[in-house]
Amino acid sequence: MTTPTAIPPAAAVTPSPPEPPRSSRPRRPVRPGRVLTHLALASYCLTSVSAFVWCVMVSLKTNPEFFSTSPWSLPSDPQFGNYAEAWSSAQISRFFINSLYVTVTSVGVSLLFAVMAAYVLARVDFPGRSVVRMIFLSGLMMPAFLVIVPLYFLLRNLGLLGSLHGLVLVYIATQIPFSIYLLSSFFQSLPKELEEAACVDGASPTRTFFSVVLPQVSPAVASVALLNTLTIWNEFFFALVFLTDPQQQTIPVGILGLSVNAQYSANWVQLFAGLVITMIPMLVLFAFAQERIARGVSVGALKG
Amino acid sequence: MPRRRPTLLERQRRRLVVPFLLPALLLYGLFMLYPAFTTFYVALTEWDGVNAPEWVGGGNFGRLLDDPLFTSTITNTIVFTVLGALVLFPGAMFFGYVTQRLRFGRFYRFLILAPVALSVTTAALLWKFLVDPNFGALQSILHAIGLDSLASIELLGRPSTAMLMVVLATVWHGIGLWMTFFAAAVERVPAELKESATLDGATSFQVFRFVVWPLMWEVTRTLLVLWMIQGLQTFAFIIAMTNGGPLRATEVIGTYLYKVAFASSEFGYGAAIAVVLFAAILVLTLLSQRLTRRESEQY
Repeated sequence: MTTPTAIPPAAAVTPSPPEPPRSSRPRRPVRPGRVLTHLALASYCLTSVSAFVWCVMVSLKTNPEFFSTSPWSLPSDPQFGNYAEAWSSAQISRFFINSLYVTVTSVGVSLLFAVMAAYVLARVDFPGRSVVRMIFLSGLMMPAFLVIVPLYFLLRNLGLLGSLHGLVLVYIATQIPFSIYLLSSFFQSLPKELEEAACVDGASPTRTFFSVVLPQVSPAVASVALLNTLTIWNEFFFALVFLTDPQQQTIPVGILGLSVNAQYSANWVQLFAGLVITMIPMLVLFAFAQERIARGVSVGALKG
Repeated sequence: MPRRRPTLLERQRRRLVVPFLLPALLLYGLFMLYPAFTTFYVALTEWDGVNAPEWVGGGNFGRLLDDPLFTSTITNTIVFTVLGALVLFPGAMFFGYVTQRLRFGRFYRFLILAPVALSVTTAALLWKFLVDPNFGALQSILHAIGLDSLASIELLGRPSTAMLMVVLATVWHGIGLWMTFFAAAVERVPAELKESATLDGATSFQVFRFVVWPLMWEVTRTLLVLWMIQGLQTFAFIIAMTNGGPLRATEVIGTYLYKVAFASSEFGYGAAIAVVLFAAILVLTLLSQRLTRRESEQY
């Protein structure tokens, strides 16, 4: 830093009369850099938002209107029927139910198993504990590509290829390492006194776990559940490889199939209505839990 | 550590070990560990998925070395990763830094993060249609501002621009997260340092360049390695936007593996690609762990 410390700070030089200390932050003069920064941020966000707006507007047009008018024109007569049509005849409803089933089942079951395993790994001192922990944590380094070929044949041999149940089993397994990783650190930060008290009072260890320990970690469990929900709802690779039957597809794969069909049927407005419908649930979830999701997904990405 | 005599609580809890570990271990073992290990065996065979696998030893790996397509997918993957880093890191750093300090910062951050909630296919399709030369919204803007020559370019149909489009879509989808990483890193810079620099008359940029940046470089290094790990595994955006085309200009390791295994039924060869990919990821993971350790020593 070349500026000598003797020079008074810029804010003090401005000839503003001393104001009563209303806010803790002094009013700073308008700087061109600040305006530029706001401009850059605002235009980026505007671009982002207008992509959504465009999508919604297309979804409300008719197909001839879509091809004849400017992409940015408002629909002359909003076709809300496009949504109903996408929901029923374009099978969005089926994809929706499939995604819902896959997400709820796999997140629920894997969370239950992961919580149990994480508790034992964090709290109980048993021989071989560090080995078991290592085995679970090694899953954090395994990309989906590494397991895909044998997994495909495993599911085929079990008769589960193309079925949502097979995908659920795979999803449960893939969520376990990361859930255990996050949850066991939460368990380690818990005080032991309550469990000891429950034990002294004669509660069985299972009872202690479900009625004393679980309530204490429920915020952590909620975080992990939210994160896994987002991941599984949007999962693409396994779903693409394993769900060969168009009737049995989840939203990410189904919507891709629709986009391919739209190129032949030229029914674009229906596809856009479908896109909008499928965006909504996660955007709503995100609006309510943005901070939690951002924090969680950051940790998720940092796992490497 | 010498083992103490276990207390009543500990002895009771030991009874939980097997029943509590077993369900997780079984599912994880069957659907992840077992296939992961089997891949290494499959990689040493030639297998069409119908007849019994035929042992070829290291043959698949030798074939990889001579496969011009594989070499070009590696190049494409590197191009994707480098281009992505060039767009993503300055952008995320800028957003992460300024949204911490500006008014409405939280609002901006919400909007920048929002695409994360979209599925990758949805985000990819949105971009694909935005730049579509026939009905895309971008083209009409280019026409409106008089850039007709640019507007007629089929951005996803030309080898020279397709990769850039895929990169932009990927960055748009994920930049909010990386912004969050950088915002967290900026927060870790002691406030007194920034304040004293501001009092000394440094501009916002100077505070960033001379106070924040040196402390953030360590974080950036780790994040770069993480980006490389993710870049190696790029898949969904490419499948949804270009499917590897035009002329395989956007074919990356992931999409090549997928096509080799599930379109050409060369499962042994596909598994060999998976093994190579895993080795690269493993090296990068170890590297990132070393970097992180050094970083935490410094703070």
